Amino acid sequence: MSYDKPLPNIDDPLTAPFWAGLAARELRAQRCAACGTYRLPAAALCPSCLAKGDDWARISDSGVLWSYVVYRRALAPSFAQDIPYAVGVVELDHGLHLLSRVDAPVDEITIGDRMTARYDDVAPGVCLLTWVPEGNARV
Amino acid sequence: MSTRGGTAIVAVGTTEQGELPGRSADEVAVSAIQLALAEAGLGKSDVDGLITCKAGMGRGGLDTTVGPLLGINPRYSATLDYGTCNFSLHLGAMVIAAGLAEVVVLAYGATQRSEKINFGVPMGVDLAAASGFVHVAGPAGLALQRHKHLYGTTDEQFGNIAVAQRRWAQLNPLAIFQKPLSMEDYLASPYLVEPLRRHDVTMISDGGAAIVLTSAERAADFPKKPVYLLGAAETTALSGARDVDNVMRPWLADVARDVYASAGLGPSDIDALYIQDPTAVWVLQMLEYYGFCGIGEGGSFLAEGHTYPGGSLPVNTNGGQLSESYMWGWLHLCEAVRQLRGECGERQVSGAEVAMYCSTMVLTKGAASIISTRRS
Repeated sequence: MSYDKPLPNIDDPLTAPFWAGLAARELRAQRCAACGTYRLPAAALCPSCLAKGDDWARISDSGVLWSYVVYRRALAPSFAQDIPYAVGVVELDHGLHLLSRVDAPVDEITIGDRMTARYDDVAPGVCLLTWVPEGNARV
Repeated sequence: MSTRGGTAIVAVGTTEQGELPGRSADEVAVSAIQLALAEAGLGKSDVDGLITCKAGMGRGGLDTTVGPLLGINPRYSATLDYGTCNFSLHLGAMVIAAGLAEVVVLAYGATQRSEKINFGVPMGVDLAAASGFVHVAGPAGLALQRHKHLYGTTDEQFGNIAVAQRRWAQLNPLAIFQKPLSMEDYLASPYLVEPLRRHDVTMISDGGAAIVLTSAERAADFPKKPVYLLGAAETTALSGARDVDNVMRPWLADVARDVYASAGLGPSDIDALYIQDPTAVWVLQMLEYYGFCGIGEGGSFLAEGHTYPGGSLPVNTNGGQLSESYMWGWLHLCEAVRQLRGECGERQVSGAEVAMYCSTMVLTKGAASIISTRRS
């Protein structure tokens, strides 16, 4: 079955290392070469110290669910077949948060649940991260 | 610069709301300006300042597109890229205080319903957009779910926002949604983006609104009772735009502190309150941050019925964007002016002298104005 939902541009130089990380089954964030502050999403320079250089560092791909919503009606046609689906924010190390799809029974999700990443290849070179309750982590 | 009492709203104009097929956003803005100028007893050549508001998704609303249609060459003109009217009002007050113009018209026109603008289309594809995280109901829903988790806020408590606003809308001939909405109806309706129901999310509609401002010194020359700008404040959380937890918007407390200081007034002085409501969540947040109840106490405050007709704190007496029309907050300010002039018929808040209008531009900018028929 072809994948007809919006796809990220994995060749954008700013974010390419993030998408490459997901394809390699790793969650990566930018780390400022000058002050060490982590940032996610990517930015061209460090909003903390304004230095330009960065490394992409692997970070833990598990954390605690901070909040979530459940789409019960399709507001975008390309997601209609997924209804109902949950999207949630997971608190990560280094003060980072990452929002993505949550794959769990939508009536059993609770803030504070431990979540971990599952990596889903959806198109050539494009891998998305899905949060799943811990203990149900691997595909 | 102190704003207190220096600027007055001398006229407002609101077009029919709903569906206005075959008309551009600029044309609707001009209609609203005509209505406001008629109320002010002015001709278009009396306007020497024009501040427009961009219509959604690149559909006009520039001073350089509305001005030519209106056929004027004002001394000063500008366009703001964000709605809610508070930002336009503050810029207009600054323009007048700086002597750049004396009669400033603020205007907004929208045709988003007739043009079937899809607010479910993501603006750029990141992991959130690829996950189906679309529409303002997404971030607002995250904020409400977190509020429920932290403070035990219930669906029924929260539902009082939509139910009260519908009650007000039924008293407002301009309002689009007039059908009765009981709490039972509300609770029986399905979730749209859980924990939000359809009733908690703005409608999409067409319409126009315009406001005429001048200096307080000139305000008495106009036919309507002047409404003075007693306090104004803004703040931003521009850097927080990168943080998904910014949906809780704690920086709203800074706008609240500053607007009260600006006017020399506090929450107990507010006779009618207006809160821009793309979703009802923003109302819940602002009741708390503007000090009408404690942080986390919004649910129980709402359940006490204060915001309904006859309550101690009338909120969004026009019905708001949930029940009146989606005009990016502009109709809230028009309604506040009409309430202070005592023009609101069945929904009139008796003795209303001071109103406050609070708005935000999504997750990054906040603004508030305190207005009154008193000059100080």
